[in-house]
Amino acid sequence: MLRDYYQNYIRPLFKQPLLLLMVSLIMLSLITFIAYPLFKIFIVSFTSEGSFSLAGYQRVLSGGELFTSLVNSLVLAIIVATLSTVIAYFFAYTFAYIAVPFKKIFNGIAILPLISPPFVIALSAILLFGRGGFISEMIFGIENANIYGLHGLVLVQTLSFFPVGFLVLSGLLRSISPALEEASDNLGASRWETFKKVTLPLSIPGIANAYLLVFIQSMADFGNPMTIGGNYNTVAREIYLQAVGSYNMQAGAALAMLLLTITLVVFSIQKFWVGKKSYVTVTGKPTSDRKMIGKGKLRGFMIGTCYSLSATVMLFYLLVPVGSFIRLWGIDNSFTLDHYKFVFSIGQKAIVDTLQLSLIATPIGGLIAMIIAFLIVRKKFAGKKAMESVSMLSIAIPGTVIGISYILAFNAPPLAITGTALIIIAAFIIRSMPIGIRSGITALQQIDPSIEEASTNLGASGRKTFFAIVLPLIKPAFFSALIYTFVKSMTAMSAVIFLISARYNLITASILSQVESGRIGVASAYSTLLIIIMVISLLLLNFSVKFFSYERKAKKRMKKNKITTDSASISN
Amino acid sequence: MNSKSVSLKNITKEFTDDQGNKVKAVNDVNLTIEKGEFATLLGPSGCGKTTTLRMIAGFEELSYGDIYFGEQNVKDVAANKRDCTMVFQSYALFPHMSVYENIIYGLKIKKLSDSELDKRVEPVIEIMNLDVHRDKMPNQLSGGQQQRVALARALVMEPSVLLFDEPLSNLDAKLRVTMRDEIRRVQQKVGITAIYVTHDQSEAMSLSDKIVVMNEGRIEQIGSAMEIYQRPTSKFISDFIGSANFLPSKVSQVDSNQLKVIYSNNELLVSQKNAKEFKVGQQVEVVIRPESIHVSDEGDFEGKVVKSAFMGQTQEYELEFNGTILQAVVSNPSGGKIYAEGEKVAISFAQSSLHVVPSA
Repeated sequence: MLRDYYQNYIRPLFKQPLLLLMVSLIMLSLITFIAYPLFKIFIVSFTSEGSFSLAGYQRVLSGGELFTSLVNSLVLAIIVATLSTVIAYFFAYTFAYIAVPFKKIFNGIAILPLISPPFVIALSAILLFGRGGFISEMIFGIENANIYGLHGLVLVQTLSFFPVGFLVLSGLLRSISPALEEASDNLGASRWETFKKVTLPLSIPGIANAYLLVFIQSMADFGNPMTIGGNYNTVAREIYLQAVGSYNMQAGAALAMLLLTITLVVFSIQKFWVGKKSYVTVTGKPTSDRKMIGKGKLRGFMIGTCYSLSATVMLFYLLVPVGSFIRLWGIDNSFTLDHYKFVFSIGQKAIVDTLQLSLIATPIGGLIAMIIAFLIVRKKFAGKKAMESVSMLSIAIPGTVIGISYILAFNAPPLAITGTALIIIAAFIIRSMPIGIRSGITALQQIDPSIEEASTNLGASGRKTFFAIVLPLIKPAFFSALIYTFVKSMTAMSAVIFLISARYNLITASILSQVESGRIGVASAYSTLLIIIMVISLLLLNFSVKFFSYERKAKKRMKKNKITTDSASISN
Repeated sequence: MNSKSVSLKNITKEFTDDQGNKVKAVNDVNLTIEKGEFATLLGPSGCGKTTTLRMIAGFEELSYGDIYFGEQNVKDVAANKRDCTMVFQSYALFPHMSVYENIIYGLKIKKLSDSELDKRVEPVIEIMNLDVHRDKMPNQLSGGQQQRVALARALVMEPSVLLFDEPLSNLDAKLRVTMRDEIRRVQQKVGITAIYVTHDQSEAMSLSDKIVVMNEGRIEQIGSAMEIYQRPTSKFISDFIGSANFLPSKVSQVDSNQLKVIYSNNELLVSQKNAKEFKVGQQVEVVIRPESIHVSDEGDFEGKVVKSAFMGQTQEYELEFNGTILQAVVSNPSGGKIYAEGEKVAISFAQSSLHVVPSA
């Protein structure tokens, strides 16, 4: 056994010095920026004045504000996950089974929340339903309407997170073989019976998946509770208040540990239990396309609902730019550029800092994600499992937990780096890495390993193979990782809010403080800037993925070779 | 062409499976392939043939043993320094490079000058009929064309040994035959040592100077196509190569190159070169190929037709012979008598085509 392990996992490392260097560097960074801070938070949560103590947990669990926040978050997460899953399933079913005009636009709406700044919807909810809100006051004439609180949070989080469920469920419904439903149809079942007895049971793992993912998102959400939570306190917010407000690190750490435990448990259920329950099997046989429902009363209803919901989401996003040009929403509705003047004068530092730090984080984050993906998919080495789980685990760690753990870990020697750019960049990279790794892994898994073997077989070294073969083939994944890192960094808040200092301010933090001081206009101007940056990045991504894929190269040649191809086909 | 012989000495590949058990994917394999010879590793999936090939290429490390190219032990030579090129099952063409770029990829790494490069590449493009395709991308080619590019890319390297990993399994049946002949033609033309892995016996038989039949990580038999078909050394091989009927029998007499065996009161005389390896009283199986069973009105033994099917070129029978069902194939049935199901018939065997293997 030991000899086997040595031969297969340790010896390859020493045979390839480059591999050894890469693995050690990545391991070191993962330990420093994920494992060590989490370890630290664990220790602090059990320590009081230098000795072991359960005081922190006692404070949390004995009732009071901290305990309420925990219960509140759970209640909120359950409501939001339920609502979002129902809406997501409705959407996904409509799009998988019904001929819907302009389908493509809605795919765009589905990915909006994944990349948008964390509180755009909350901001517009305030503009619509808050004091002096467009709907609450101007249409219904309610003065002092109160959107702040649980109902506001439910509205905002559901609109923000149902697209996450939609992505999961539409993927699942698309992968159900239409032949199964045709078989049911063929055996005499009505469409409703087929849905009830075939489609729905087959999609249960996907439903559970969507539910749990939204649950985690809601639990971990920081931006919305901060902007629209009102008196409804949630756990992510409470951690921040404990750590930054009252500087009670032990209680904050204990609360963070509890939140982390919940999200990790839910994540594990989602990944290891639900993930394995899937009935959908890939047979490799080509399945025929599903015949879309083209008429019927229900069809109109479903399309109508989806359209209006999408329109609502769109409206929420459009309202923020509008709000940024209005002097004082609901009170003085005159046009102004003052908010932008503020943003580009006094508020400019936040923009410059955010751009600067994000631009540094982007190439590092993208490249690290590709290298980790490559190591995980293609290489054998000691510690690979650990590398894979730690780097993917960070997707389940709420931002606030990372934030407080960084304060705990990096405020004192040996690594006193709070307040520096380094720690913010590290947080950016750690937060965006899992998605990049995942897209890298997916891209690599679609590439036949024998293509790399062929390169080796023809005499290429490991480095030559990586740069001449692997990287060109996963270019689209690489670019999406780059863009994702950039967008995620520009809009990051929950983790970095703990880490900003006088030296580095961030746009998201500025928005938050503007919201807190009631200056919705300035907040809207900042958010609009972020939305514009986000849209440009997305267009860039879309363009680059198309531009850099080798299929395009083939198409180009196809045109050029049109004539030769024709003559060739005769000779064959 | 600097073709070399290949010798495998006691090569073994061990790995640990999910349950923690040690499994030997390749178990103590010894084999020599002469310079310029076309050898095929043939066997069912999981027999270790592909692992053996991958160890020769250097993609898998050996647990034990040595591999020689000519006189040189290449066991510790890295995969990218080994002088053997491979044609992959999936062709493994670089999808982002044109046909020409694919073919010169290895030569570029060798840093050949342009004139040298042309000298090597152009003749290969010529014999592989790839000239009109040289600027196309791989996904613009048909399966057969991709196959030819893969072969060209391996050939331009002028390796000591050419390796093939089931290269035809992705092609349709007709193209497979064409490409099979093409591979054999090119290999003989350049006179290169070739090692070819397949599970398809007709491929192995039509291509090879030497067939190496593998099963469960071991070599079962080495020989020419004819030797392996006519004189299999085990029940596994007789069943795996072609189709075979088995009569469970007992040896009653051993002579220098012939055996007498008893099958349920019927005595059969079998010419067998290795007759001395058997003992009187030993339990054996008599191998009878379906085409060497004669079905007629008069013959040595009695049987009954259980099933009779007209297949055009042949008539296929299932015959009951003292409790054993025999598959028999009669060629050109239209010229002779056809027996129906349920009819009694006489069965005889061509003595020279009978063969005895030990009971498994």
